[in-house]
Amino acid sequence: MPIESLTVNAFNGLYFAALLFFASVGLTLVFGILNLLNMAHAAFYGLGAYVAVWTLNNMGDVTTSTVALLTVLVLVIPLVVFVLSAALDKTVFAPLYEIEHVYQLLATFGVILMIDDIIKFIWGASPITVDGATDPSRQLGTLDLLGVSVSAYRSFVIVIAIACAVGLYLMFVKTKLGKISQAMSEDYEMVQMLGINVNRVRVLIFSISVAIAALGGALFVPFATATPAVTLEYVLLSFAVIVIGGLGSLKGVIVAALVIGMVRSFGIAYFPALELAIVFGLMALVIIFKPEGLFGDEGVVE
Amino acid sequence: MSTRLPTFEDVQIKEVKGAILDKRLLTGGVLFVALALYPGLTMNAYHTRLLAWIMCFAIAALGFNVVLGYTGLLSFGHAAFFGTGMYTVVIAMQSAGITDLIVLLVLATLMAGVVGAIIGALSVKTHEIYFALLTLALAQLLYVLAARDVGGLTRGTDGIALNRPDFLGIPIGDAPAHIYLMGFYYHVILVCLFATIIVLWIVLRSPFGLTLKMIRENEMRAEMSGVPILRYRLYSMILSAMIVGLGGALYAVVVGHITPEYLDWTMSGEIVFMTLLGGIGTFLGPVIGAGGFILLQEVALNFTTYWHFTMGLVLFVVVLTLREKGIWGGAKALVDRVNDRRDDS
Repeated sequence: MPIESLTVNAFNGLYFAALLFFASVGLTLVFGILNLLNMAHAAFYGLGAYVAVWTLNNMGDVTTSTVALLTVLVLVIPLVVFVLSAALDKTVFAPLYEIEHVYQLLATFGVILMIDDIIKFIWGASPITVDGATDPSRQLGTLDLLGVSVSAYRSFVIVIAIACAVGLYLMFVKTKLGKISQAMSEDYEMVQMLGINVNRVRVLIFSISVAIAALGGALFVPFATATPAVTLEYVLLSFAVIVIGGLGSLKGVIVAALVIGMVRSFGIAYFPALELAIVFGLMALVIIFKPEGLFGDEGVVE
Repeated sequence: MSTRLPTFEDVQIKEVKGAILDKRLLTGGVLFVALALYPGLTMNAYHTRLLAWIMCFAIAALGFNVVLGYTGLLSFGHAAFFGTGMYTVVIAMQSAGITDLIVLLVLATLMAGVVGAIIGALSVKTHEIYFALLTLALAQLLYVLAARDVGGLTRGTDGIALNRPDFLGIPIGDAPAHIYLMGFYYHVILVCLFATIIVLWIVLRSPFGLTLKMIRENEMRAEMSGVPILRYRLYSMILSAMIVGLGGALYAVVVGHITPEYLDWTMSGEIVFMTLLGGIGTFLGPVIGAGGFILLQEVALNFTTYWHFTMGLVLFVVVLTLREKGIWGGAKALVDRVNDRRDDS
């Protein structure tokens, strides 16, 4: 195996892992802290992707500067989705916190169908792509990594994912919000009895989680087309990630995203027909032999 | 603890009075005759096709409810059994040259049972959402293998077209499509649906069915009474898979072209949806749910291309309001309430 192809595949694996991390970290946080199994989580990844393509293509008339484009992708879109999901948490998702997991799964499956059609209603059913002029991945060109030229944009996505993981870790360890959320994952009612406004924490955690998913979707599109199938694909992949990592564990999501990212990258290179089969096989094996996942029996950040 | 889906309100064995049974049999008989005569009387090919479609999924939803409603396990992988039924029919016809409908249906049911036994054996030990996620993963594994055409049987995402099977050596498959459906195949589906209802009615009221309910209601108590829980869960998976497989096999001939989409998890979602819509805590709910789902889809498609939104909204509202009762249980409760009020006054 030549060292160059090894580097390229490992780099692409990191890139996949970054996207998977964005798509699934919120899912596991919402489950671990708020006890909601939100099947529709990855639908916001798809939504982020569409919003990003639409915004980038409309920005072409105003500016095509790389910094502006990247700011929109990394800051503006997640912020907009943050506000949107706060509103959704107060309305659509509010009654779901009270019911059993199995019913949560079914009700949020309904939400997927709805978001799917809203996307088709606004942007149509055919795939859409970012115009060349406003595509930050083209503007950024390539970098040299260990003698191999790799996409600078993909490196940027990986850096953002690492920053996001570190940021979340610091939030849980250092801030009051993080401490309260950790306590909520242990004992929701006790926290409520201590006089803490759990509903406010709930809205914040839910919106942060959803915004990260949208960020992932936004970062994903310069390199791919936005299609309705993106949502359905990432619903399954994000479930595979959180199951392998262990439901409700931040460390688990990071490790599992890396595992699946590498499996996909090397799988596409060496066993193209079996790449997804390996992912689901791995997911099944973990549930059969270690249902709590790799790190599921620990707390959110341990 | 097992999944505590708070289904059936009364679990004690009720003595079904002779009069009620007679009334039910009579209603069922009248319904059967009416449905059997429908294509011949109206000569409406569209309605016949729609009814055939509904009945295939009614069989699948009934089979699915054995696991969800009676054993209390939410499976998100029943597309595996539905798709196995479909692929068995088409592969047996193309590769093995079997053209007799009865043989094909039996073969498909058995194959689905085998797949059900494998998936069941791997997953019955897990609980609640882990069961849902494991069945999802295993079914998706099957989907990926079929979509990528691993093993060279399925022709990947292009799918395989299907000829019309013969019946008892009569080359009825040569008849034109609409005559085949309206004069023959529709009635085969109808008979299969009623046979499924009767068989399930008997099985689920036998000691076997009551044991399943006992496991659902209180797993620990069942275990303490000496019920081998895992084995019974496996049996219910196999029974469920076989019935869903039969539904898939029947549907294969209706659509005439089989693609891996029927193995995908959204298919599982649709089967769950139908069952839940009709009411998982009722015996006939899944039949009503399948009818409701498909009619709703047809109606919504007439007005808008965005029927997914309508369906998603309906699913959301049904889960939050009616829960295990579904529209069938909800309607029954409404009738009871009206009757009570009338008795009071």
